[in-house]
Amino acid sequence: MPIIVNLDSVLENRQMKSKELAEAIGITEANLSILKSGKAKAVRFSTLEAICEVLACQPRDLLEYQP
Amino acid sequence: MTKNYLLNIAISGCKILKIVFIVFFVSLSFLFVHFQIDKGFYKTINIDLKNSEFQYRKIESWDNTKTQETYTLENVTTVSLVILYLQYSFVLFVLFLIVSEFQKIIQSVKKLNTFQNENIKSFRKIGNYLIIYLFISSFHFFLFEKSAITGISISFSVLGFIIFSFIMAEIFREGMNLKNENHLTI
Repeated sequence: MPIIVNLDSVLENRQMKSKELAEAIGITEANLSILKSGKAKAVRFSTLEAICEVLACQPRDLLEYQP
Repeated sequence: MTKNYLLNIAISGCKILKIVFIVFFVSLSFLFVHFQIDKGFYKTINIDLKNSEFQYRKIESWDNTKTQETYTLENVTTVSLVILYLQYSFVLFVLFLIVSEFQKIIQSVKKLNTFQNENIKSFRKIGNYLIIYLFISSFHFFLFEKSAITGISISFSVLGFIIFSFIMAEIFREGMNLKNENHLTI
């Protein structure tokens, strides 16, 4: 899939662990892992909004299009 | 969904049908044995192929005296009877397997695991079993001392069920894909 999820790098910049983010946005670690690994088929706006709010970032910081 | 009465009735119906098939098989075996002991008991039972949508029937006779042989069950040869017994036993066995697979599907729907790979396999198995059923049940062979009746009768309703089973397998496959996609939506 040409959509790359840069969640790992944003988490590293914020010095936050995946577990903390999962708890903060109310999803399971397994689902967050699916999102980070790029196996996810879709992302809900509500999830994206929660991630952006917790990590204080923009959607463009998390998602990248590489054709 | 666990209190769905229709599904519970369907599961009970499948269980009853399976018992009925076993009872039929035991009765068939009993009749097969009884026939060897008392052939005269079956002299009134005429052999007549059932009417179906498509039927081909051929009567061959190798009797030079031209006297018409009576086509009753009493006059059927042992070889023909064994073939008949095996044919109907296998038909009952295949029907038993079809009902078992259907029961599995209903039980999985009751447990809210409707769109899973096992159900797709079950529908395909039902389709394949129906093909075997159609193949076995369509052939008729009765061998008498001086003549023989052979015939083929194909039931279009069974053909319809075969197509329906494979279509259902495809529908369930699409359902499973949608379910997986939903699971991977974060």
